[in-house]
Amino acid sequence: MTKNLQARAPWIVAAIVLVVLPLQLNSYWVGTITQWMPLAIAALGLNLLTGYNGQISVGHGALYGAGAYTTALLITNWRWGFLGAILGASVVCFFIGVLIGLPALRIKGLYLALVTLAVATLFPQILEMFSKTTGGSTGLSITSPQIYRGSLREKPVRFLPPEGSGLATDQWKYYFFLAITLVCFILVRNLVKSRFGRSLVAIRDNEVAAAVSGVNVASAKVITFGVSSALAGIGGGLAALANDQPRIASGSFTIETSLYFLVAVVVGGAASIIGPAIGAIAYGLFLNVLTPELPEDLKASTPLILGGLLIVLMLTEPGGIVGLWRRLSAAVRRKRHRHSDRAGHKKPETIVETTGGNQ
Amino acid sequence: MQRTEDLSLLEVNDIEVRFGGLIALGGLSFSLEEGGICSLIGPNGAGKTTLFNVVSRLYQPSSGSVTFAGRDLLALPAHKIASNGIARTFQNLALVPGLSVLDNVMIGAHPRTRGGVWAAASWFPLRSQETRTRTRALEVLERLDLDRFAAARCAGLPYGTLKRIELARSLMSDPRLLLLDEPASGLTHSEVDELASVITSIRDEFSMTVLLVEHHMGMVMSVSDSIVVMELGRKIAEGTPQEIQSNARVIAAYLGEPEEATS
Ligand SMILES: Nc1ncnc2c1ncn2[C@@H]1O[C@H](COP(=O)(O)OP(=O)(O)OP(=O)(O)O)[C@@H](O)[C@H]1O
Ligand SMILES: [Mg+2]
Repeated sequence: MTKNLQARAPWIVAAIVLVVLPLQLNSYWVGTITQWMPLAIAALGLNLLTGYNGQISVGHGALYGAGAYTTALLITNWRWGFLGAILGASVVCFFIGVLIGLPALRIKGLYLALVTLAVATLFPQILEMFSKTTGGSTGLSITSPQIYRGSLREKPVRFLPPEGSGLATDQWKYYFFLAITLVCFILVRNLVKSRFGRSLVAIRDNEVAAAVSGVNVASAKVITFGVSSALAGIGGGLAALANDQPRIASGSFTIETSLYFLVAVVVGGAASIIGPAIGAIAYGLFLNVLTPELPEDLKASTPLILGGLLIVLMLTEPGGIVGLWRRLSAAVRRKRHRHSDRAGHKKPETIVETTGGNQ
Repeated sequence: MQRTEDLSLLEVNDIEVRFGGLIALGGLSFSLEEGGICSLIGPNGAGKTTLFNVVSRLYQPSSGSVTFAGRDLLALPAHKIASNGIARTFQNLALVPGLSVLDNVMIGAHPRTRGGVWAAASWFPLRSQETRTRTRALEVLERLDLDRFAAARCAGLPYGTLKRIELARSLMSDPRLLLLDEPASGLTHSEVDELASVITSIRDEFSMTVLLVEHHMGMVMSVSDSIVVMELGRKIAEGTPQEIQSNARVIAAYLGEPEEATS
């Protein structure tokens, strides 16, 4: 029981920090962190597919876009609520993901990457093709009928906080995003630690072992593609709503978006639950905090700098930030063992139990 | 005549497997009675592993049939074999390096457990099943003297230990037929003796039938109720250990030299 609590303590602290944060920060930061959350969810989805199941997708930017457009159209044209529209987007993207996952059964590794790359490249063009509905590169404004100066008009949707909550619009939006983000992370965590999660890793590492143990490899792969895409869709749906005057355009969902998710997964740490979130934050910090500080003539080469950092990280720590953290904490624990052994006071087991509290 | 056929658990009938021009199994037939330990022996390349791969549905034979407990195995996909009561280990190990030893063993319970993505993601519906699976896996690990490795990763563990982990995984599905592909390879002499007694005792505990592929003749002779001898993709002899040891054709084909080569 106490051990359980100690293991969970960092998560509880993190949750409290996330809840208190918007009450302490100015609206710029509240807005910025709100914008990171959709990225984290999409990276979480990609990590489930690539990190845990070993299927590479360079096309998650397209699914992110599909989620964004589904959400936008459901809200603007069908008058759905935010939550309903985002759930709708996740369902639509689940099925798109299954459709992409089916051919992925026959192709693997580099070939799968190329096919998903094609999906990512074609997506903006598909949006252009249906520019009547999607608004093409001009974009689409997400609106709802609102009373404005005494008459009902189509106005950009807003996150109106419940009356009496005392929250500002941006804080309310932050909490809405946070709730969805936390639910996604908890669901994926459960999934990964389940029978299904074990079979995902088994398929990644040894398909024969998985099949012989009774895992239906094909269906697990397709379902994983669907679930991963559904998460990308939820992220995309939130991303569509992230700005003050929500608006989406085909230019926001290019191949670059797909690559950002891969970067977030790799930087944070593949095949770990919290890795994609850390990766998304690291990426956000780089983009929103570090880049504005750079001298003007360096700004154009930020992708280059990012690429360079990525390569360095891959070479020094393939497990990403989470891998680095695990290695360091394991080293610290070993050192403590040695100390306590020399002192001869405590048995190693008791030390292990108390490290959580000391950190 | 009909009766004996009905009683046999596994029926391999005229199976042929080719790899290009090479005939790995050339019309292999034999049947396996329920309840004993049967060894499948033969020189390298005789087709023993190929037969296991046919029964596991990893290789598709070009002709022939395989029935298990009256069911046509060749009509099933590979992932349905375990739930039909056949488990196996591999000559060259098929473990999952990305999972802990405990999780590797828990995977073996896959055919005995239920639950889709949504149930797994919401955690609650599957929690008691998960606890049961974990408890069972720990029991099996303890039974095979592996409990101290439960939390470890497979990487870096000794070969013999990894083979036993695979054995533990295969037991998790409560198989009716267990296929063991060279479980004694890489073990020391005393480990081989121990393995032999483990195999006979788990056979009783789990009331399974065991089909054992093994080059270690000492072990084969001591644990087997019956022996099938293969050469070049065909059965060349069949009988009790005593009969096999005195079979001139077997001695010529096999028993003569590899005895020294294995130890
Ligand atoms: N996937 C494959 N592709 C091509 N040839 C194969 C394949 N699998 C087996 N063979 C060939 O089939 C023949 C039988 O191989 P198999 O592995 O069944 O022999 P075995 O009896 O298990 O031998 P050993 O005692 O060495 O394990 C060999 O000649 C082998 O090279
Ligand atoms: Mg073999």
